[in-house]
Amino acid sequence: MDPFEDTLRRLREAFHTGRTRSAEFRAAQLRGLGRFLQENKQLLHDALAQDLHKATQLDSAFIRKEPFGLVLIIAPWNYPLNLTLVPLVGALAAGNCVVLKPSEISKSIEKVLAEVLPRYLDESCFAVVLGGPQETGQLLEHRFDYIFFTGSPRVGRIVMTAAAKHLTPVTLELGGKNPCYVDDNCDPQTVANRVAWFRYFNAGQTCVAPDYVLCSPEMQERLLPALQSTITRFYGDDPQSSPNLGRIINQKQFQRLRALLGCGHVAIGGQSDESDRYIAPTVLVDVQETEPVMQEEIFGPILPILNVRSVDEAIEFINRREKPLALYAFSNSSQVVKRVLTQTSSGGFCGNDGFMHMTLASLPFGGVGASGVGRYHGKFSFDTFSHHRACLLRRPGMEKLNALRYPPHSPRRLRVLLVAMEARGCSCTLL
Amino acid sequence: MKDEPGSTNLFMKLDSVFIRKEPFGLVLIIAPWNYPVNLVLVPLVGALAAGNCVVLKPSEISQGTEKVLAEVLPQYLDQSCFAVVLGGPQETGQLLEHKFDYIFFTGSPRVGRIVMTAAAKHLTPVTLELGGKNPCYVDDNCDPQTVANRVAWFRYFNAGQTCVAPDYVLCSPEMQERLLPALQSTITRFYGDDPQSSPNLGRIINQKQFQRLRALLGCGHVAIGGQSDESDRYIAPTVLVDVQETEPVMQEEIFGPILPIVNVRSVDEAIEFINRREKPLALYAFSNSSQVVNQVLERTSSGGFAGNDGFLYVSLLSVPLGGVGHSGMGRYHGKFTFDTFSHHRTCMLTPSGLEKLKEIRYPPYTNWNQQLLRWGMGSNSCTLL
Repeated sequence: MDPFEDTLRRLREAFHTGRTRSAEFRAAQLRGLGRFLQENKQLLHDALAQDLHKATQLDSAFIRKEPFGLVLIIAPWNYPLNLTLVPLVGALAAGNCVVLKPSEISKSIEKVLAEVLPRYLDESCFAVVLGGPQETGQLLEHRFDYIFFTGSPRVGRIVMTAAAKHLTPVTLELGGKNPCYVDDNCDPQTVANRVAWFRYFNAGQTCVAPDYVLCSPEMQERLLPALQSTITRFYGDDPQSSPNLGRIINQKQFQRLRALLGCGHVAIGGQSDESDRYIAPTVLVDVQETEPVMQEEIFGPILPILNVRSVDEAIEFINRREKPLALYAFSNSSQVVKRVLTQTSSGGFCGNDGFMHMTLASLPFGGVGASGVGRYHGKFSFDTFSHHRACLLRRPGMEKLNALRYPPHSPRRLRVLLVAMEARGCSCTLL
Repeated sequence: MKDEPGSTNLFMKLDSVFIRKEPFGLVLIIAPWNYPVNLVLVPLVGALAAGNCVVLKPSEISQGTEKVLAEVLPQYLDQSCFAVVLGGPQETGQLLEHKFDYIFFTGSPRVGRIVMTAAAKHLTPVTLELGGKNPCYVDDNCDPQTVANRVAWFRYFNAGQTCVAPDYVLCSPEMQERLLPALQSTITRFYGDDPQSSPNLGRIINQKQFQRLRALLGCGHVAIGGQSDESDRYIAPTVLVDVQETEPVMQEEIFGPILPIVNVRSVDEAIEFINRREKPLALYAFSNSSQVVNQVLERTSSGGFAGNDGFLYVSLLSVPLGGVGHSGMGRYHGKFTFDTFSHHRTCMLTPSGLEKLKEIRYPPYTNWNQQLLRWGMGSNSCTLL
């Protein structure tokens, strides 16, 4: 019998109603806390005295950013250069020593990173280690001062569990199924251009690509021919011969994706070529939520369309599932876009476009919930790989001024202390 | 709460780009017994201000406070969004099997590992405010009485049950000679000739902790204090000398009114000693020479640092409180608490029209449009490859 089940469910449900979101609600809660403290001073005092015999009555400051020490970066295969170098830049800039574990799946880049990159860095502070899942498991038994992992949620759990043994902080850049809501009030061709570009880029092997579309049956009618038109425009009549379309990384992924082509019905594309690890830019319709294509992150050039009858139904659908890394909403109405934004959560969000938000170095990039922990890019990388150490440097003299805080305390002196501390903006009692 | 705007590149001038701070959802706060009101309420304020629903698990060890928090506090809050749950280690373990959207834990490193391991199963982000042995280096170039006042105040406050209190002193034998009478003088000034009767000295929380501390009194030699009273859970403000690194008092966080002094011959030896051990939550250096203080600061790492004083910095809202290594991860206080309990969501709102402007990025590619793309993304470029 789990005594917590009901309570937790109740609170979760309350959260989903959006109750805690407004500033008014939060202010009311905080005022309640304030009254609690005010109205129960004696009660709290007695309780503290009972527990701990507490007495009633309590220069240059700065934050120093220091390296953690030995950082491990585990990189994936889909953007093997970018997703290695961008965290590496942050880790090095922050002054850490780095162990890099590139993906063994993107073998050619792995070779270059292992053989060439170290020559450009001070090798006493940088190393590349190689291996598959077993070697990575062994690596993770060691103690690191920070671990930065990009990959699947399943492996993210393994990494965080290993990190927990050493109390090592982590950033996990994971994934999920990124929903793409397409409102009726849209220009289908514009939407098709934008969605297709971000979906089929790198043959769909992008953690922030739109994973599936939510729209009404009417919108679907208009979207399909527009998508076909876009695909032909981008990749020609024979996409397999286009120089602008990528391939699937390996056989294992190819087989997985080819099996997904059997879900729902193929409306566009659907061709594949095993010898080339080629999968055509594909759109699926009549897809059920229970089918495999809606159960796992697709990570390929396949775009399922699911029907909803309204933006509310779309939002409800999205919120029933894990929080994604990215979320997209297309509408001519900025109100609809804002509604999707405010009533959902995700790592990042873009209205009326694809993952442009992650190309800006001024903005952080990271997930939430099952899509990840922590963030980076630009200055945020530096901050991620730094320990922010609070420092206070005081003068060794002027002891008379400090005398105020020393016991024995009189009520008058306590009052003066409190006033002095409040003036400095400290309103949390030391009790 | 307000969205923070972000800077854009040339291609995005028509877009609205900002960071939106959103609540995580259901937050669990596990609080300790040593500052049972403060270490509950300060995180709670941040979690509520950030718009989360909160489950609070106060310490079962500070029973008086636990009762007030469980029975009275909910009356002041909206109970559909706030709950207090009670229990010991077993119930807490059961609680941790559930999925939370954030877990904020204050306590020991040992339990911190358990919390993070449980959180990992659900990919739940955590802040762990842990502890360690906070070193306190005292240079020869010091006024002993000033140092004694400052160190003693922060060590014996709350009967030493403070995660950021100076845990042990590192100084030369010469400095120790001068420090001991100064410490005795300070202790008498603060607590009188009979500290047990002073209203300004706390007590040990329970028998278990009391027994643990009383055993530590046997390490090295007692230079000051050393008395204890089981019926009162009282331990006198104590200073130990001739302590070996291998003795229990130097192996665990003391968390009581006992201050061991360990001798070093120079600041370099002190720094080496400190760096051989786990990174502490707080680190202190006392010297009239700011160069010496800066040296200790620059050659060590810790959650926080204070030169020539104790943990006053935790009362400043402008700097965060948090550990590093075994002393913790994450940070809070003031605005940092709000940020800790918020997910920072990067958002971009693009106009739905003006498709002609976007065309430049679509395949098929020519040399010309690739060049234009690169130029436009300019100094904000991170390659998409």
